[in-house]
Amino acid sequence: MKLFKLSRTVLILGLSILLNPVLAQSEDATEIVRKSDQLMQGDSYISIMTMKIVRPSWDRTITFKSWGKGRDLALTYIQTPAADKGQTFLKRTNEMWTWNPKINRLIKLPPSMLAQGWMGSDYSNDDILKESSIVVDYHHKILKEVKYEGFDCWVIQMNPKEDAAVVWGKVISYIVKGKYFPLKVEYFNEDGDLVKTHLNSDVKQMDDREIPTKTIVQPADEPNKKTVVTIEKMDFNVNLQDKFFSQQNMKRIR
Amino acid sequence: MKVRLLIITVLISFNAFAQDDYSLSPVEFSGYVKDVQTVFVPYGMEENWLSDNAIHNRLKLKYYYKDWLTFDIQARNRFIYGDFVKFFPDYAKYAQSSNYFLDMDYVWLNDSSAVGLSELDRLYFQLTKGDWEVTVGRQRINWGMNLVWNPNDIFNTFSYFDFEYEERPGTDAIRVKYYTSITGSAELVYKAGEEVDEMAFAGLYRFNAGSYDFQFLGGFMGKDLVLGTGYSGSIKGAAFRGELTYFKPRQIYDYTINKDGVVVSSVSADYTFSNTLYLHAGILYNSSGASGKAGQIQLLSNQELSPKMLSRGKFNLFAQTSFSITPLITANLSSIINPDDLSAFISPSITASLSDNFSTSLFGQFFMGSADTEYGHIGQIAYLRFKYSF
Repeated sequence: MKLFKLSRTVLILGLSILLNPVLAQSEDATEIVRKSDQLMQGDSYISIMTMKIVRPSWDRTITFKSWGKGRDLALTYIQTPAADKGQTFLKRTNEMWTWNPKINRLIKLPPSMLAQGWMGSDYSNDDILKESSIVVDYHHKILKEVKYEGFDCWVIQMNPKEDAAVVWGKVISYIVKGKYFPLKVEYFNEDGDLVKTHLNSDVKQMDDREIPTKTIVQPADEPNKKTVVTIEKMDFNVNLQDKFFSQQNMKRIR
Repeated sequence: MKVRLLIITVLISFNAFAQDDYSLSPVEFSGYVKDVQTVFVPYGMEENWLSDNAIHNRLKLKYYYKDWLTFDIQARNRFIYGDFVKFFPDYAKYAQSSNYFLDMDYVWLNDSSAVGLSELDRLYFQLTKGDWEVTVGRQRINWGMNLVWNPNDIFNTFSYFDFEYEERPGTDAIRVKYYTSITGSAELVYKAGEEVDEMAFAGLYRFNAGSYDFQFLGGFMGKDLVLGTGYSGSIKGAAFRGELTYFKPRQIYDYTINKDGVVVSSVSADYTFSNTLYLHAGILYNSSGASGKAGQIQLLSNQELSPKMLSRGKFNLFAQTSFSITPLITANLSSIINPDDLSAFISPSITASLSDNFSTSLFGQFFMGSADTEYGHIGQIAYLRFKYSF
């Protein structure tokens, strides 16, 4: 374990030299987005997150533990609220199941259910399950370079590829130079209207990397509504076999 | 006292289990308290409302003792008072689940106007080794694919009308399950009974192919041999599910009805729109059902439910729609119709979340139809529920 940690540190060190903005001066937009995606997700991860749905007169909080590997495998365990505790969701490629411990029942979820906001929030299933890839499914272009919230950022515009099954018409991401995490991501519909903005903040060390741990999802047309997603804990490139993402495990994992 | 001792022991040893930052306590304690006020307006006696109140508590203790061994104990405690208790002879007996092999219930109050009872409806341990899983004790064995009618659910049939029993009853059984793949499994279940006619023994094989889940089952259940199949998949984003079970009497006597056996099948589909509107429809076929007037369902009977008799009529149709008015308030409308005798059951409901763990709901159960039909001449029922989960 120690050896593994050490070698990973070495690897990260090596990578960070490679990624040093001084050494690599002219990066193309796709490369930046790829590094950003890798930074925020890694090859695999384990995390505990809370999601707070905020409205002018009320708020509700959900805590969940998640495991993910690549784009195709994800497992989520609901920790709170008490009434939903223990419910799990398994995603394998395009299929999804949920397990309800109350009645010991496995239900296969239809695709139409995935299109909904995650448990009533502004955060969509696409955000959680990473159904589409910002790297593979979009063309990327650096629009400009600006100073945002005290950081030097690339402003990168992403337009979906013709055959990509994505919900957005355009995405604009403010990615911090040299650090590769996005601070602000704007999502536009096919008519070019702003639909929602993700505002990232509270940059902290999580495992081997520095990332924003708080995301405010702000719908454009409803300024008094928002969803706040906070990463409580996260580790990257953890050792998860494909078999971990099984129906057997979704009944046992917690 | 013993439970308390167990908890203390576990709490002391808690640190030994905390392997890393992500692991949770090996002991999980949860449950809820709810109050349900019921008003029943019986058919033909509309001026005589019957009013009952139930305070209902559920306690669940799950102990992840080792990687390969877990324990689950769940208790259902109820205190009920009101008109039904007064008018129903031996109400405490009626309120108990009668179909268990072992007695694990306790009536702690049996008064002419109030009853108090506690029962354990889950009490099992589970052993896991590699792809194998063995579960022994009172557990819920859920083989259904559909969301309302489950002909494949031969161990734990539940009544759609008894919506207050959210967890549904368990079964005293031994289950051996083998996971054949990431999305497939095979299992054998033996349900204990005092005599063969009360036992069941059956196997289920489930697998995933072409983004559909399929299953096949066979064995015997009480007096019948059973053979069944089911599937769950999707068509253009909508869930599409089906189940079929064939029941054949093991022994045929002169008085045996349905000598050729009974086929029960159901098919359903549901779709969720992006604005949270949910539509769900299904159909149930019961070869032994009546094609004319089906005769009234026994709403207040505590007889064991059977997947052979999910309806009294040959066909039943189901339709449901639900919609989130705000993220906190969800409205739902469900209905069942017997197309042969034109009787119907309609159930509107509304649920509101009052805080993270506190919710309230109002349910209606309206029965309509003429005399001797499946849903006719029963009455109208309303339920008001407050629920706090912990």
